[in-house]
Amino acid sequence: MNKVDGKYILKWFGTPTAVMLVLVIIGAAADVALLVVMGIMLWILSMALLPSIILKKQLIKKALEQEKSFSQKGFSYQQKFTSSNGIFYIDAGGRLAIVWKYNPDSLYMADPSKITDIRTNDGKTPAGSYGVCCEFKLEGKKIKIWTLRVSNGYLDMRNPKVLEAISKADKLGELLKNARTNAGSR
Amino acid sequence: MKKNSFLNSPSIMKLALQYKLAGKPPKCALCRSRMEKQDRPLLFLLPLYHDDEYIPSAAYYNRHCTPIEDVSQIPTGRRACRLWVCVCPSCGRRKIAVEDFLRVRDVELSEKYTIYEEAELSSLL
Repeated sequence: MNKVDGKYILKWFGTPTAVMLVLVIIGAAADVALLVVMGIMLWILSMALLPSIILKKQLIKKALEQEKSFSQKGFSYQQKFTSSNGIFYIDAGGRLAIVWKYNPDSLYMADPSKITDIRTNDGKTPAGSYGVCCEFKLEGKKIKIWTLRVSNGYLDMRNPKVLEAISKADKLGELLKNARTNAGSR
Repeated sequence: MKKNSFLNSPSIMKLALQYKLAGKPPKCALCRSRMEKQDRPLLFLLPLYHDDEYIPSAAYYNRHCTPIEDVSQIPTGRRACRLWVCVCPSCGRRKIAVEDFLRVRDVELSEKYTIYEEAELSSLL
Protein backbone atom coordinates (compact mmCIF):
# COMPACT_ATOMS: atom_id res chain seq x y z
CA MET A 1 0.00 0.00 0.00
CA ASN A 2 1.76 3.13 -1.25
CA LYS A 3 -0.09 5.97 0.43
CA VAL A 4 2.57 8.57 -0.33
CA ASP A 5 4.33 9.31 -3.61
CA GLY A 6 7.67 11.01 -2.92
CA LYS A 7 7.78 12.76 -6.32
CA TYR A 8 4.30 14.18 -5.84
CA ILE A 9 5.19 15.47 -2.36
CA LEU A 10 8.41 16.98 -3.67
CA LYS A 11 6.55 18.66 -6.54
CA TRP A 12 4.09 20.43 -4.24
CA PHE A 13 6.09 20.97 -1.07
CA GLY A 14 9.51 21.35 -2.67
CA THR A 15 8.79 24.56 -4.60
CA PRO A 16 7.67 26.71 -1.61
CA THR A 17 10.51 25.28 0.47
CA ALA A 18 13.05 26.14 -2.26
CA VAL A 19 11.61 29.68 -2.60
CA MET A 20 11.80 30.11 1.16
CA LEU A 21 15.41 28.92 1.28
CA VAL A 22 16.43 31.26 -1.59
CA LEU A 23 14.76 34.24 0.11
CA VAL A 24 16.34 33.41 3.48
CA ILE A 25 19.81 32.93 1.97
CA ILE A 26 19.61 36.15 -0.09
CA GLY A 27 18.16 38.03 2.88
CA ALA A 28 20.89 36.77 5.20
CA ALA A 29 23.65 37.50 2.70
CA ALA A 30 22.41 41.00 1.89
CA ASP A 31 21.49 41.61 5.55
CA VAL A 32 17.85 42.37 4.68
CA ALA A 33 15.68 41.05 7.53
CA LEU A 34 12.46 41.72 5.59
CA LEU A 35 13.40 39.13 2.94
CA VAL A 36 14.06 36.48 5.61
CA VAL A 37 10.76 37.20 7.39
CA MET A 38 8.88 37.27 4.06
CA GLY A 39 10.39 33.94 3.01
CA ILE A 40 9.45 32.25 6.30
CA MET A 41 5.93 33.76 6.26
CA LEU A 42 5.33 32.60 2.67
CA TRP A 43 6.52 29.11 3.58
CA ILE A 44 4.23 28.89 6.65
CA LEU A 45 1.28 30.14 4.56
CA SER A 46 1.88 27.65 1.76
CA MET A 47 2.33 24.77 4.23
CA ALA A 48 -1.01 25.66 5.82
CA LEU A 49 -2.90 26.06 2.53
CA LEU A 50 -1.40 23.24 0.50
CA PRO A 51 -2.88 20.16 2.24
CA SER A 52 -6.24 21.67 3.08
CA ILE A 53 -7.12 23.47 -0.16
CA ILE A 54 -4.78 22.84 -3.09
CA LEU A 55 -4.04 19.13 -2.55
CA LYS A 56 -7.69 18.43 -1.73
CA LYS A 57 -8.72 19.97 -5.09
CA GLN A 58 -5.99 17.98 -6.81
CA LEU A 59 -7.29 14.80 -5.18
CA ILE A 60 -10.85 15.41 -6.42
CA LYS A 61 -9.59 16.23 -9.93
CA LYS A 62 -7.31 13.18 -10.12
CA ALA A 63 -10.00 10.91 -8.64
CA LEU A 64 -12.42 11.98 -11.38
CA GLU A 65 -9.77 11.09 -13.97
CA GLN A 66 -9.29 7.69 -12.30
CA GLU A 67 -13.06 7.07 -12.31
CA LYS A 68 -13.06 7.21 -16.13
CA SER A 69 -10.77 4.17 -16.23
CA PHE A 70 -12.90 2.13 -13.79
CA SER A 71 -14.97 0.45 -16.53
CA GLN A 72 -11.78 -0.79 -18.26
CA LYS A 73 -10.74 -2.45 -14.99
CA GLY A 74 -14.18 -4.05 -14.58
CA PHE A 75 -14.89 -1.96 -11.51
CA SER A 76 -18.24 -0.22 -11.09
CA TYR A 77 -18.54 1.53 -7.77
CA GLN A 78 -21.77 1.72 -5.79
CA GLN A 79 -20.58 3.87 -2.92
CA LYS A 80 -18.03 6.65 -2.80
CA PHE A 81 -16.66 8.21 0.40
CA THR A 82 -14.30 11.13 0.74
CA SER A 83 -12.03 11.27 3.75
CA SER A 84 -9.19 13.59 4.73
CA ASN A 85 -6.58 11.18 3.36
CA GLY A 86 -8.25 9.84 0.24
CA ILE A 87 -11.34 8.86 -1.73
CA PHE A 88 -12.76 5.36 -1.19
CA TYR A 89 -14.88 3.40 -3.68
CA ILE A 90 -16.79 0.21 -2.91
CA ASP A 91 -18.08 -1.79 -5.86
CA ALA A 92 -20.98 -4.21 -6.17
CA GLY A 93 -18.69 -7.22 -5.83
CA GLY A 94 -17.34 -5.94 -2.52
CA ARG A 95 -14.01 -4.67 -3.86
CA LEU A 96 -12.40 -1.56 -2.43
CA ALA A 97 -10.51 1.02 -4.52
CA ILE A 98 -8.68 3.98 -3.01
CA VAL A 99 -7.20 7.16 -4.46
CA TRP A 100 -4.80 8.47 -1.81
CA LYS A 101 -4.41 12.20 -1.21
CA TYR A 102 -0.60 12.11 -1.38
CA ASN A 103 -0.52 9.58 -4.24
CA PRO A 104 -3.47 10.47 -6.49
CA ASP A 105 -1.89 9.34 -9.76
CA SER A 106 -2.27 5.64 -8.92
CA LEU A 107 -5.37 3.68 -8.00
CA TYR A 108 -4.94 1.31 -5.07
CA MET A 109 -7.12 -1.80 -5.19
CA ALA A 110 -7.39 -2.93 -1.60
CA ASP A 111 -8.24 -6.43 -0.48
CA PRO A 112 -11.33 -6.06 1.76
CA SER A 113 -10.41 -9.25 3.61
CA LYS A 114 -7.51 -7.26 5.11
CA ILE A 115 -9.92 -4.76 6.70
CA THR A 116 -10.17 -5.19 10.46
CA ASP A 117 -11.47 -3.33 13.54
CA ILE A 118 -14.36 -1.55 11.79
CA ARG A 119 -16.18 0.79 14.17
CA THR A 120 -17.98 4.12 14.37
CA ASN A 121 -16.26 6.78 16.46
CA ASP A 122 -18.89 9.31 17.50
CA GLY A 123 -16.30 11.68 19.03
CA LYS A 124 -18.20 11.79 22.28
CA THR A 125 -16.80 14.00 25.04
CA PRO A 126 -18.55 15.51 28.10
CA ALA A 127 -19.00 18.73 26.06
CA GLY A 128 -20.48 16.96 23.01
CA SER A 129 -19.11 15.57 19.77
CA TYR A 130 -15.99 16.97 18.07
CA GLY A 131 -16.64 14.89 14.95
CA VAL A 132 -17.88 11.54 13.69
CA CYS A 133 -15.91 9.02 11.66
CA CYS A 134 -15.84 5.42 10.58
CA GLU A 135 -12.55 3.87 11.69
CA PHE A 136 -10.94 0.71 10.39
CA LYS A 137 -7.57 -0.85 9.90
CA LEU A 138 -6.35 -1.72 6.41
CA GLU A 139 -3.26 -3.93 6.38
CA GLY A 140 -2.69 -2.85 9.98
CA LYS A 141 -2.84 0.89 9.28
CA LYS A 142 -5.62 2.90 10.90
CA ILE A 143 -7.85 4.81 8.47
CA LYS A 144 -10.58 7.26 9.41
CA ILE A 145 -13.37 8.36 7.09
CA TRP A 146 -14.93 11.46 8.61
CA THR A 147 -18.64 12.02 8.13
CA LEU A 148 -18.64 15.14 10.33
CA ARG A 149 -15.90 17.45 11.56
CA VAL A 150 -16.74 20.21 13.99
CA SER A 151 -14.28 22.98 13.23
CA ASN A 152 -14.98 25.17 16.25
CA GLY A 153 -16.06 23.61 19.53
CA TYR A 154 -18.49 20.76 20.01
CA LEU A 155 -22.00 19.77 18.93
CA ASP A 156 -24.57 18.22 21.23
CA MET A 157 -24.84 14.44 20.83
CA ARG A 158 -28.54 14.80 19.94
CA ASN A 159 -27.88 17.49 17.31
CA PRO A 160 -29.40 16.40 13.93
CA LYS A 161 -26.02 16.88 12.21
CA VAL A 162 -24.33 14.52 14.68
CA LEU A 163 -27.11 11.93 14.39
CA GLU A 164 -27.01 12.01 10.58
CA ALA A 165 -23.21 11.68 10.65
CA ILE A 166 -23.44 8.68 13.02
CA SER A 167 -25.98 7.10 10.67
CA LYS A 168 -23.65 7.62 7.68
CA ALA A 169 -20.66 6.20 9.56
CA ASP A 170 -22.74 3.17 10.68
CA LYS A 171 -23.82 2.60 7.07
CA LEU A 172 -20.25 2.84 5.83
CA GLY A 173 -19.13 0.37 8.52
CA GLU A 174 -21.88 -2.01 7.43
CA LEU A 175 -20.77 -1.74 3.77
CA LEU A 176 -17.16 -2.45 4.72
CA LYS A 177 -18.22 -5.47 6.78
CA ASN A 178 -20.25 -6.77 3.81
CA ALA A 179 -17.28 -6.17 1.49
CA ARG A 180 -15.05 -8.13 3.89
CA THR A 181 -17.56 -10.99 4.05
CA ASN A 182 -17.89 -11.10 0.24
CA ALA A 183 -14.11 -11.10 -0.14
CA GLY A 184 -13.82 -13.95 2.34
CA SER A 185 -16.39 -16.07 0.50
CA ARG A 186 -14.77 -15.61 -2.94
CA MET B 1 -45.78 50.42 4.89
CA LYS B 2 -43.00 48.42 3.28
CA LYS B 3 -43.37 44.70 3.84
CA ASN B 4 -40.48 42.64 5.20
CA SER B 5 -39.54 40.48 2.22
CA PHE B 6 -37.50 38.06 4.39
CA LEU B 7 -40.40 37.19 6.66
CA ASN B 8 -42.88 37.15 3.79
CA SER B 9 -40.88 34.75 1.69
CA PRO B 10 -43.00 31.61 1.26
CA SER B 11 -40.22 29.20 2.19
CA ILE B 12 -39.57 30.93 5.53
CA MET B 13 -43.29 30.98 6.36
CA LYS B 14 -43.62 27.35 5.33
CA LEU B 15 -40.64 26.34 7.47
CA ALA B 16 -41.97 28.26 10.49
CA LEU B 17 -45.38 26.65 10.07
CA GLN B 18 -43.81 23.20 9.70
CA TYR B 19 -41.77 23.79 12.88
CA LYS B 20 -44.85 24.94 14.77
CA LEU B 21 -46.94 21.99 13.61
CA ALA B 22 -44.23 19.32 13.96
CA GLY B 23 -45.71 16.28 15.67
CA LYS B 24 -49.10 17.91 16.37
CA PRO B 25 -52.31 16.58 14.86
CA PRO B 26 -54.02 19.16 12.62
CA LYS B 27 -57.04 21.28 13.51
CA CYS B 28 -60.36 20.35 11.95
CA ALA B 29 -61.25 22.71 9.10
CA LEU B 30 -64.96 22.60 9.99
CA CYS B 31 -65.20 22.85 13.79
CA ARG B 32 -61.66 24.18 14.53
CA SER B 33 -61.03 21.66 17.30
CA ARG B 34 -57.72 19.82 17.53
CA MET B 35 -57.88 16.36 15.94
CA GLU B 36 -56.72 13.29 17.87
CA LYS B 37 -54.16 10.80 16.60
CA GLN B 38 -55.31 7.19 16.59
CA ASP B 39 -53.23 4.96 18.83
CA ARG B 40 -51.30 2.75 16.42
CA PRO B 41 -49.47 4.44 13.52
CA LEU B 42 -48.64 2.59 10.31
CA LEU B 43 -44.96 2.20 9.47
CA PHE B 44 -43.48 2.43 5.96
CA LEU B 45 -40.02 2.33 4.45
CA LEU B 46 -38.97 5.14 2.07
CA PRO B 47 -36.43 4.74 -0.75
CA LEU B 48 -34.23 7.46 0.78
CA TYR B 49 -30.98 7.48 2.73
CA HIS B 50 -29.72 9.95 5.36
CA ASP B 51 -30.24 13.52 4.15
CA ASP B 52 -31.63 12.76 0.66
CA GLU B 53 -34.01 15.49 -0.46
CA TYR B 54 -37.50 15.10 -1.95
CA ILE B 55 -40.73 17.06 -2.15
CA PRO B 56 -43.31 15.43 0.15
CA SER B 57 -46.62 14.79 -1.59
CA ALA B 58 -49.43 12.25 -1.42
CA ALA B 59 -48.43 10.95 -4.87
CA TYR B 60 -44.84 10.39 -3.70
CA TYR B 61 -45.91 8.45 -0.59
CA ASN B 62 -48.47 6.40 -2.55
CA ARG B 63 -45.80 5.38 -5.05
CA HIS B 64 -42.78 4.79 -2.80
CA CYS B 65 -43.98 3.61 0.63
CA THR B 66 -43.24 -0.04 1.48
CA PRO B 67 -45.08 -1.31 4.57
CA ILE B 68 -43.06 -2.78 7.44
CA GLU B 69 -44.11 -4.19 10.79
CA ASP B 70 -41.54 -2.82 13.18
CA VAL B 71 -38.74 -0.24 13.47
CA SER B 72 -36.24 -3.11 13.74
CA GLN B 73 -36.88 -3.79 10.03
CA ILE B 74 -35.47 -0.39 9.03
CA PRO B 75 -31.99 -0.85 7.47
CA THR B 76 -29.14 1.36 8.72
CA GLY B 77 -29.29 4.84 7.23
CA ARG B 78 -32.64 4.28 5.52
CA ARG B 79 -35.50 6.72 6.06
CA ALA B 80 -38.95 5.58 7.11
CA CYS B 81 -42.29 7.26 7.76
CA ARG B 82 -45.19 6.89 10.14
CA LEU B 83 -48.80 7.46 9.14
CA TRP B 84 -51.29 8.51 11.76
CA VAL B 85 -54.99 8.64 11.16
CA CYS B 86 -56.22 11.80 12.91
CA VAL B 87 -59.90 12.00 13.86
CA CYS B 88 -61.81 15.11 14.91
CA PRO B 89 -63.48 14.38 18.31
CA SER B 90 -66.40 16.72 17.50
CA CYS B 91 -67.41 15.98 13.91
CA GLY B 92 -65.51 12.75 13.13
CA ARG B 93 -63.68 14.22 10.10
CA ARG B 94 -60.44 12.31 9.33
CA LYS B 95 -57.01 13.40 8.08
CA ILE B 96 -53.66 11.66 7.79
CA ALA B 97 -50.42 12.92 9.35
CA VAL B 98 -47.17 11.67 7.83
CA GLU B 99 -43.89 11.92 9.72
CA ASP B 100 -40.71 11.11 7.81
CA PHE B 101 -37.82 10.17 10.10
CA LEU B 102 -34.30 8.76 10.21
CA ARG B 103 -33.65 6.22 12.96
CA VAL B 104 -30.13 6.47 14.34
CA ARG B 105 -29.51 3.75 16.90
CA ASP B 106 -32.37 4.37 19.38
CA VAL B 107 -33.02 8.02 18.49
CA GLU B 108 -35.47 9.15 15.83
CA LEU B 109 -34.61 12.24 13.85
CA SER B 110 -37.77 13.78 12.45
CA GLU B 111 -37.23 15.15 8.93
CA LYS B 112 -40.64 16.15 7.52
CA TYR B 113 -44.15 16.33 8.92
CA THR B 114 -47.08 16.80 6.55
CA ILE B 115 -50.88 16.49 6.68
CA TYR B 116 -53.10 15.02 3.95
CA GLU B 117 -56.77 14.33 3.35
CA GLU B 118 -57.75 10.73 4.06
CA ALA B 119 -58.75 10.10 0.44
CA GLU B 120 -55.28 11.10 -0.84
CA LEU B 121 -53.51 8.28 1.08
CA SER B 122 -56.37 5.79 1.34
CA SER B 123 -54.38 3.18 -0.62
CA LEU B 124 -51.85 2.97 2.23
CA LEU B 125 -54.40 2.40 4.98
